[in-house]
Amino acid sequence: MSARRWRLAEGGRIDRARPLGFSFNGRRYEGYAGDTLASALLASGVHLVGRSFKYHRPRGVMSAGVEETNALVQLGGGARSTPNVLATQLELFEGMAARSINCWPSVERDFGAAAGLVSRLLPAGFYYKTFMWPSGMWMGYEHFIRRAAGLGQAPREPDAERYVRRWEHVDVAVVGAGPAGLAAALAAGRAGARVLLCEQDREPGGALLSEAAEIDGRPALDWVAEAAAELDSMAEVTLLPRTTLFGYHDHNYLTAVERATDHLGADAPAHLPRERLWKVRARQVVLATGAIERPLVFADNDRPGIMLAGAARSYLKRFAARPGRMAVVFANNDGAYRAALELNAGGVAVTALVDPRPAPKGAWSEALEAGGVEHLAGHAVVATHGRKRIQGVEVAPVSPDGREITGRHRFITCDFLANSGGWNPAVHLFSQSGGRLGFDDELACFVPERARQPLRSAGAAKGSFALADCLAEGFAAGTGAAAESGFGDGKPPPTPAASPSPDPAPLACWQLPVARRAAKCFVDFHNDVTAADIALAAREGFVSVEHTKRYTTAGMGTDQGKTGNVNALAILARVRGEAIPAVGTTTFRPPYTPVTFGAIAGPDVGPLFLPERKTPIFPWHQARGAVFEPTGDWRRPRYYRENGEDMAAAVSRECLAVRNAVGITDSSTLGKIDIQGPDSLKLLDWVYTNAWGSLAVERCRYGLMLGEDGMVFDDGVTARLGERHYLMSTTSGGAGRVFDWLEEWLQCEWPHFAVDLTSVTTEWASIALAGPRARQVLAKLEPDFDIGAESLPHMAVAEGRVAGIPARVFRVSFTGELSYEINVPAGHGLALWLALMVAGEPEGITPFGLEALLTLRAEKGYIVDGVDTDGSITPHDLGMDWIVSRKKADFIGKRSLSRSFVAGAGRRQLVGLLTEDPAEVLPPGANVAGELRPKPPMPIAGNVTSSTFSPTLGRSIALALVKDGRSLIGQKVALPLAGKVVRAEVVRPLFYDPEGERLHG
Amino acid sequence: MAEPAPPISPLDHLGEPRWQTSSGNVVLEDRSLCAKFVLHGRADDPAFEEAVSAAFGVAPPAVNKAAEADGRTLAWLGPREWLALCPAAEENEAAEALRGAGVSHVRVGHGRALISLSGPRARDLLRTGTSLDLHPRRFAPGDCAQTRLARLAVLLIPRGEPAAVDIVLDRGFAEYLWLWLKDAAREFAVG
Repeated sequence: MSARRWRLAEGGRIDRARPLGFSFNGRRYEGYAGDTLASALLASGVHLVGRSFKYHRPRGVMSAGVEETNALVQLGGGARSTPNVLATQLELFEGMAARSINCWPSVERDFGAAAGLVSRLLPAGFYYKTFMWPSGMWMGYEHFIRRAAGLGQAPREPDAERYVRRWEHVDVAVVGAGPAGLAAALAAGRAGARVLLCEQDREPGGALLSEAAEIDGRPALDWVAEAAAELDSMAEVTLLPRTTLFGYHDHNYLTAVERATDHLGADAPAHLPRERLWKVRARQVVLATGAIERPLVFADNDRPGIMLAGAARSYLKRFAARPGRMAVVFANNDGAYRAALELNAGGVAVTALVDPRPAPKGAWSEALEAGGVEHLAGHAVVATHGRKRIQGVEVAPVSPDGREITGRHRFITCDFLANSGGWNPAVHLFSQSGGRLGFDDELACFVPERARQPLRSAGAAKGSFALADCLAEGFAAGTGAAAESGFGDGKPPPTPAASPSPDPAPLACWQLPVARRAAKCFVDFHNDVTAADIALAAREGFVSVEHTKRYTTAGMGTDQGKTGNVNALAILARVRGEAIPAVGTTTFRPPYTPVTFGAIAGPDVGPLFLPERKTPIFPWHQARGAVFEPTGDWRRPRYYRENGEDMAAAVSRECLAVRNAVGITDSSTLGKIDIQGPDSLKLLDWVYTNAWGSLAVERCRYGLMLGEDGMVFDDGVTARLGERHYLMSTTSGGAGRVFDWLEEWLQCEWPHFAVDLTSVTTEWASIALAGPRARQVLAKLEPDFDIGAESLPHMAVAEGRVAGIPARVFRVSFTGELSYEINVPAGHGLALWLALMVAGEPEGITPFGLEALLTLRAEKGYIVDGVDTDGSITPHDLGMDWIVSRKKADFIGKRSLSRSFVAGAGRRQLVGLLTEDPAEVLPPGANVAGELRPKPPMPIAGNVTSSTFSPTLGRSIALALVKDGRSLIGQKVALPLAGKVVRAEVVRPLFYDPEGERLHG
Repeated sequence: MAEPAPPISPLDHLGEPRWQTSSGNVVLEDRSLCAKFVLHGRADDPAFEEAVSAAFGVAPPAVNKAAEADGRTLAWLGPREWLALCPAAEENEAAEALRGAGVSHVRVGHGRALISLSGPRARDLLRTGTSLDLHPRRFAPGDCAQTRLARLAVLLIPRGEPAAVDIVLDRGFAEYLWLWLKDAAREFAVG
């Protein structure tokens, strides 16, 4: 078995009793529970996992964490296909099927690799330079560029997975469950605070999972297990594994995504979601996010088999996978010495350690030499060989600053190269929070300098890499955060002793010399950006770090430059001849790692996408075959389809039934506001334009409401139910707005008014009976009051019982016909509707929808606020001067009506339009020209607001707002439409029953 | 004249006045038909407080508080506004008493639905739809809150039983919320 050569016989945090079969690029492999896809592949001897983004160069696993740039895979297929998954984070499960991305036909034989052969023709900014000319062609080029580039494939089917979200409030949120984070959570939890500890890995421990450190003289992982058990036992502490805290927003608002079931594969329980989005509000935050190792920038540093030193350690120690058999370690810091020693002792023969530092000293150097590893101080790797896997390196002596080759090359055979350029604290979240970074010259990295939100950094995230410091800072941060939230005495628990850690300070050598000019020194492996690209960008004037980033695309991959960014700006600083802090950093933005759209959308998909508001009669409408139309949140019947008729036929049938017999419609959506109190009349007089003092009890009045700008804002009928009791109705869509408007005036301007408002929109089901036979139908339900024309005339209201149900009956009409609007408590609405349908059957009662209602009202020239008005129309513009009181001292909007541009000529005015061809129905919104011209261009004087075919009149009608429209009555106007010009006569906006005889019937 | 049929809940057509997960971790109950009134008055007016206490049997509670006695609940809604809840059978009696005591009130029993949520995971279910802090230290019987749940405006009133909460909302949205809660309860179906 070849796999035996790569998997250690013992050790590691894998379960050899649980083998897991998986496939990669169609080939079957086996790994163990506890493996990631990357570790399982390495343990199977597979290094080549993908092709690079631009040059299609062969690439291998480069890291063991979220910073991975190369080992991105397409996971699964069909509705569960997921692109760009990091193999280094992907926990192995039985039956996993993954494949390489960005290669065709296969990762071994990739057609696109031709791009590498012409790479000299593909410099930074290549697309901008080549495809922007001629300018109009970009859209054409883009199609091909997108196909050639890009990474994984977006799934074509709807996502079959389920996603949920959860809100959380805590005293202390701790990010990262390495030694510092565990210590912080322990300290805060012991103090009694509510604690959330997020860990992106499947288990706590952080770097300790990959090393042989000791705490209190025992294996560090024993301490980790005890800490996790203690946290688990605390009721107020939540430890979330597999959870990436990806966003740090204002006011300590954090967003995290928990991968709940991805690791279970087909065994995932059906009731659990794939992912859970956590929205966390924390009083205090502890960032223990650790650090990310930096690669060295050297010649052809991207070959499969070249890996970060820390990652190599991780594969060996944690996953018992040998990343190679004959290794060279190339590093500028002592940390990698420890890695070299562990590799050498663990079954990877390290032939040489190459270090550009001229004379590294100390315990780790001595240990290395004692371990029999050749120590090449003052040397650098200046070339690498091997295509699909590294086969050897050339090393040469270099100058003390690591920038010049000073001697002869020497070839060393190897199948693996571990490298380290130092460590970057993971300051992403700190920076997202608005904190300021500073550059630490000794550690050669950015560290948190000044926080802007209530947070603390601890451990490697702060630049404190020694285990002892991580523990001490973690305990201190957790204690302090808890104390500031009101828990504990602020005294940290004693810090346990820890085994020593290597000095983290590296030699700041940002780019190493190359043996041959053709070599590529990659900075951003994800987007194939080289050191030369950055230098070119700078030469071409893109010297700002933000410009360099966009021009070269460094840091713009899905990894967001976790490994490449600091190297990139250090190289830019060198080109510019400035210090790194002077160059600055690009902005760190959420998300820290890619987040699925599913997690963001959450469960609000399909029928739950948007809340829907339904009237009590909705189930009947649905059963009757109503076609619905959204009106605000409501779903209202648009028309009722009968016998397969189309909308026009249905609307015509419904309209004619109302005009000739009786129709019934559900008007429950109309806004209703109960107004009570001694000052109710005063309120009405203020908010409506007309005077209300003369309205008797049991009578109704129509009112127009204006904004302070004098423009029509809402309209409706208000009924006086008692001496100090009114019921205001509003438009269906305006109910909330009007209620807020009244409350605002009452609370802010007139707190001394004794008026109580209650929204009763849905308290009452409202059913309108309209048509010449409406009275006969209502009479059958035996109202216990007189509904005759004299007792209950137009604009009157009566209270009593209808069909035994307590009811309010209003003689109001929006159709122009004799009409009763019957309000009953909503729980009785459906019963009343059914009773009316039965009672009305002999009269031919016909349910009608919104479309018929809008047609009927257009025939009468009744406006719909928001359709025939647009927030810039006054009552005068509508020809409704009669509703504006001249006697009242004041009302909202009154003063604005006297402004010169409102009171003067040239206003748009509501008129009717009759097309010359009665069959021509104008499109709503159509422009109305001020002059008759045979073809455009024509000066535009207004537009059509409502337009319909009137079944009653047998012709088309329209309402329009036209400049000085009333002066045009009797004249012709032109309407330029698509491909033709239509002529229409301007008429009064009232097409049917101008005397209103039917209304009063 | 015949008495009309009793009123029906906005969830009547769903045919399940009570629903629970197979585990019983989450239980939904439609109690929309209970009587509800909006009361208006001034909290700093002793006469109002006395009148409400005498007529309804519960004194108007302070900001974001709810009070309960003998199956009647009062919840704070605004500076001059409370929601009163009582069993449907007591609606007319309560209305009469409020009128007699001169308390400004409006019946809203039909316009507002009430869904009772209970079971050990009830609050965890709510946490999937509201940003409010529902920790027992912050939200306990005696409190109430007007907030958003599943993007709807709701009034939450915690009940005596651990984790149980009454949800009062506009009648028109009751069906959406019921279906939303059932969907959200899926993750608590087991264990």
